[in-house]
Amino acid sequence: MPSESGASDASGSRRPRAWKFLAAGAVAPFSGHRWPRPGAAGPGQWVTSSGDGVYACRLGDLPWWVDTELWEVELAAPWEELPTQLRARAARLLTAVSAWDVAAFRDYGEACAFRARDWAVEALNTDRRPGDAEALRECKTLAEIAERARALQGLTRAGNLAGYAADTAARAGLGNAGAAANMAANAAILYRGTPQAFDAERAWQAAWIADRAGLPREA
Amino acid sequence: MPQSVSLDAPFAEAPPPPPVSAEEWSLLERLRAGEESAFATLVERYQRSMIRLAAAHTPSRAVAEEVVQEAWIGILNGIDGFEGRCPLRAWMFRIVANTAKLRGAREVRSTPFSALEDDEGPSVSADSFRPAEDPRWAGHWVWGKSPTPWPDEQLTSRETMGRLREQLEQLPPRQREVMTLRDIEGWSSAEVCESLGLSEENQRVLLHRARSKVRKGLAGYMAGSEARR
Amino acid sequence: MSNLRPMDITCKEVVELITEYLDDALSLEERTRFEQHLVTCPGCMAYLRQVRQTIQASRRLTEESLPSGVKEELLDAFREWRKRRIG
Repeated sequence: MPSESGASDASGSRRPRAWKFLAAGAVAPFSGHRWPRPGAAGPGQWVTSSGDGVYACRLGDLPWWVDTELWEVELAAPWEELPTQLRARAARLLTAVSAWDVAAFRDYGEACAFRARDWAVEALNTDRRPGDAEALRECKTLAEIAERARALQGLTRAGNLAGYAADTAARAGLGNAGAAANMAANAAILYRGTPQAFDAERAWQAAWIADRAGLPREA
Repeated sequence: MPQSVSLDAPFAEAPPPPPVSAEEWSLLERLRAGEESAFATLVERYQRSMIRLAAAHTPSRAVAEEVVQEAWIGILNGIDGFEGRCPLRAWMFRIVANTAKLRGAREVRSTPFSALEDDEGPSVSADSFRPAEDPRWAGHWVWGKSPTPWPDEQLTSRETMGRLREQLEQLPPRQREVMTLRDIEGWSSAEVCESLGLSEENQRVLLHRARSKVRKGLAGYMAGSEARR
Repeated sequence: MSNLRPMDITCKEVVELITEYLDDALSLEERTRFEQHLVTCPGCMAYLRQVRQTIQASRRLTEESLPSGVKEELLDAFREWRKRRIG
């Protein structure tokens, strides 16, 4: 696997390293079409689209598109950078990122849920409710968090964060990591008290995904 | 770049046909010359779809058949004047639609169609979504009321197809017409607009309402049959 | 009062945008937000799938074959028309 951040194409311009989340079987999650997979002969066939291009992720884009399969892809020029994705005329699957699988996807949701739990615990302590905080802190499973946090749900800041923790744990418990991660990012807004916390939380999530998937971190 | 494959989404509609194909022009010439086989070909090709279109505006199949018969005469009478600026099919179906509407207008009750079709509520009942005052998830599905996947096998059963037909038949005429042409006949948006004289926006609104109603009707049926099992 | 960012689309909005989405009539920005919502929402993903299944089921509605009498009637009408034309 090349270690530089992206190969140069014939014109000498740097092609970004790019990834793509797909559903099981290299299936595009919204349209249902199958991407051609790499084989013994090399990368998968080049793919164009009947729409306005094919899309892929930079590292920071990954949380927006999370799914159970992760692929490294190659883009054909011209490509452009959009706010939360790359767009190119064509792309092809290079290699499957084997470290990312259904278990990783599930663990990702769980990590987001435990994080939301921790914020609720902190808020309960701040609210001088040490008993409630401890009851939530000592939960070891998603099911326990969901139940305990639901009981602590309320309209105060701490109560609302408990509500987020319960919502997140419930989704993560069902394996809905995409839902859980989005809920945690929303909870972050309340926890940190600013809308910018959402994107900051997405950045944390991108780092988690990159670490678990063994992707090289880049600037 | 080496050869690429196109990722045509499986749910994309078929591309619109060329305005008038060479084969159709030849058919038209033969028709104008009075060749019976040319007319028979057109009937074989389009009669079923025309009946379906007419049925969207008429109270019974028998009336729909009469309408289509009348429309064929209109098509024959106008055939010399057809210039091929729009697809032949679109031109013919516009005649069918107009004939059906005229016939339907004669048979309609006092309430005008437009009033009947304006009773629209949301596609999904409002109580399926959290209210605006919800502290975290206003406008999101209520936990437990969110849709769940329908098993593909159940969809192909005869009962389900029967239910689907029922739902379509209960649609207001204009919605039924648009959904019939788009989703049963597979016409493109442009063709439907051309044939029915609708703007793209209006066509889409009608299609949206139709599909939403039919989906809702099917959802109720799917849920009910699950409970019966 | 909801914490939700105004730019984030809700499930209620997704349901009303479904036809535009399927017709590829949303702007790139709208479509991106729509799809990003689906990543976070199995309920809406299921709703989209149900609408697609409804459409595909509709495509399978087949019509009975042309009753033979109908074609003959029409051919008679055609012969009348042809006669008037020539005469």
